[in-house]
Amino acid sequence: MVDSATHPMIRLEHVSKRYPGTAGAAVSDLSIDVDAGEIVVLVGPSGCGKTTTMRLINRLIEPSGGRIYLDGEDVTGVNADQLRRRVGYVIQQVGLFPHLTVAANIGLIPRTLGWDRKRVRARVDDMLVLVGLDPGTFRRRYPKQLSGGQQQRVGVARALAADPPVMLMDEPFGAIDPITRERLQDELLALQARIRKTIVFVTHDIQEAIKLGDRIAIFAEGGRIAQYDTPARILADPADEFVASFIGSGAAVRSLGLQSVGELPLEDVDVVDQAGAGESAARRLLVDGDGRPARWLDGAGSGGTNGAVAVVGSDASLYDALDAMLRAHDDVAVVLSTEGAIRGQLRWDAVLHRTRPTTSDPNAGDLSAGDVSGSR
Amino acid sequence: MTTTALAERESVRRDGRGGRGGWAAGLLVRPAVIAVIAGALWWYLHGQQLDDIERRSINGPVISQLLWQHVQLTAVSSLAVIVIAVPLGVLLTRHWLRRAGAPILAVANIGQAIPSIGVLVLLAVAVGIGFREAVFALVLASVLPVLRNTMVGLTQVDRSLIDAGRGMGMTRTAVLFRVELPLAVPVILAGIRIALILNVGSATLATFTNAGGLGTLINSGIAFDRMPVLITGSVLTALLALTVDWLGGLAERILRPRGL
Repeated sequence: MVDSATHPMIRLEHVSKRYPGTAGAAVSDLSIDVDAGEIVVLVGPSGCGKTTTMRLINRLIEPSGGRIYLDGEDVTGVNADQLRRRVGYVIQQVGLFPHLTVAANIGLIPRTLGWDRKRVRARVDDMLVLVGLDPGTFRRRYPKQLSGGQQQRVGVARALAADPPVMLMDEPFGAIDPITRERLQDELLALQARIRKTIVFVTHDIQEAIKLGDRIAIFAEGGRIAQYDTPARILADPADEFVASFIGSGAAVRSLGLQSVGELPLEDVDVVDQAGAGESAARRLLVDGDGRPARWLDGAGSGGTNGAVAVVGSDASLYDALDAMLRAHDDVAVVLSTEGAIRGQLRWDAVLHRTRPTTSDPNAGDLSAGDVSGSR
Repeated sequence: MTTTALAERESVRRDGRGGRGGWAAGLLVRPAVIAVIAGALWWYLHGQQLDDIERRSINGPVISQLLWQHVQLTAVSSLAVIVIAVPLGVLLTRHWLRRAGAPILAVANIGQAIPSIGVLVLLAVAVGIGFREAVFALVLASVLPVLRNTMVGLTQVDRSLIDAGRGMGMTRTAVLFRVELPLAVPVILAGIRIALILNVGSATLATFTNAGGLGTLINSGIAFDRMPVLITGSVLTALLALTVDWLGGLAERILRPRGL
C-alpha cells in the first residue's frame, strides 16, 4: 500500500516455530512483509498460528528458525526487552496493571526509558486526549473504575506512549460488546489516519479484518498463509477453497462495503424547485429552499415510490447506497457531496454491473463457513 | 470539568482507599478491647492476696522481662521467617523452578502437621537449648504459611498482566517487582499475619528450652499450682497475640496496593 520505504517495516523471513513434543509446527516457513504505515490483519480460525506469528514479531515467542527484521534491522538476536519497547503491544485482556493509576500505566515505559517526570506527564495527557479520554477526569483513576471500552482505550494509549513505529494488537476488541467494538474500530481507523503507525492486528473475525485491514493475511491450519492481499481482492478473488469458506457466504455483498459511491460514474438528476412546475414524462427531483432533495415527482411510467428519495453522501459505501434504495423502495439513490450539494444519481443497475463477481462462485459453502460465522 | 469532575475525583479517592470511615472506626475497637482486658487483669490481681511464690512471679520487673523476651522471640523469629520464606517463595514460582514448587510445598505441608512443641523438644535434644535454638524452632514451625501464601499470591497474579508487562518491554525483574509482588502483597501479608500469631503462641513453649517468655509464667503457675500466675501468663499472651494481630491488620490495610 505505502510505497515510501525501500524496505518493509516488518519482515518475517522463513520463520518457523516448533514446540518440543508436538507433531506439527505451530508456524512453519512463514514469510510476510508489512509496509510502513499500513494495517495488516492476521485472521484465521483458532489454532492457526496467527497469534504465534504476532508474538514472534516482538519475540515473546522465540522463533525456532528464520529471521525477523524490524525497519530493515535484523532483530532476531537483539535484546528482546529493548526490542519490545520499540513495539507497542495491545492484548484482548487489556492487561492494565490494577494497582497503578491510568497515568502510571501509560507512563510506565516512558519512565523505563528514562524520560523526566515533566515529559512523561505531558505525554500521558497527550495520549489520553489522543484516545478520546479527558486527562483531568481519567489520569488518576484506577483501571477497575473504567468501563471495558475505556480500559482498552487506555491500553492503546499505553502501547503508543513511547511512540513506537509498530503496534501489535492481539484481538484487542474481542472481549468488548458489539456496539462499543464497532465504535472502537472506527476510532482506531481515525487514529491511524493521524498517527500512521505500522499495525499488525490479530482477529478471528473476518468482518473486523475487512473493516480494518489495508491488507489481510488469512491463516490456514499449521501456520500457513492461505492468502495475503487487500480485502477487496480477497473478497473478489479468494485464492482457494479454504479462503472462500473462511470469508463465508455474502462475500460479494460485503465487498460493496469497500467501495464508495463516489468511485462510480453518476447520472445527472433532473431537478425542479417547485411542485407542478410543468408536466414532464421524465422523473424529476423536487428540492426544498436549501437545495436539498425533498421528493420525486413521478412522470408517466415511473414506479410508485410515493416520492420517497434515497439519499447518500458521496463518501458512503455502495452497501449504504443499496441499503438506502431498499428502504426507499426505489432503484435510484441521489448522491450528495460532502457540502450537501446534489452531485447526481446512482442506479441499482450501475451497482449491479460494478460488483459482478469476477470468478467462480465464492460461496462453495461447506461446514467450516458455518463455523466461522457461528464463532462471531 | 466542574462539579461532576470534582464529584468523580472524590469517588475515585473513596474507591481507591475503600470505605475509609468504616475501617477507621473498626481499627479503634481492638485497642479498646485490649485495654479493657488488661484493666480486668490488673483489677483481678489487686483483689488477690498474693503469697511469696506468687509475688516472685507477679511483679513489675519479672513480668516486663518475660514480656520483652516473648516479644523478642516473636519478632526475631517472624523477621527470620519473612527473610527466608518470601524470597524462597519468589524463587519457587520462577518459571525455571516452577516444577520444584509443588513437591516442596507438599513436603512442607507434611511438616506443618507436626506440633510446635514437638519441633521445640526435638530441637532442644538435637541442637541444645537457648534463645537462638528457640528462634530456630519457631521459624521452622511458622515458615510454611508465609512460604505458601507467597507462592499462592504470586501464582494467582493474572497471567495476562505478566504477558502485557513483558510485551511492553519490562524485564523479568521489573515485572516481578512492579507487577507480581505488589499484586501478591495482600496474600503474602495475610501469611505473615498468620505466622506472627503462630509465633506468639508457640513462643510460650520456649520456656521449655530455657529461652524465657510468658510461657515461664504459665509453666510455673501449673508447676506450683498458683492460679493467679497461670492466669497472668495466659492473659498476657492472649493480649500480646491480639495486639500483634491488630498491628498485622493495620499493616495489611496500609500496604495493600490501592486500586485493587
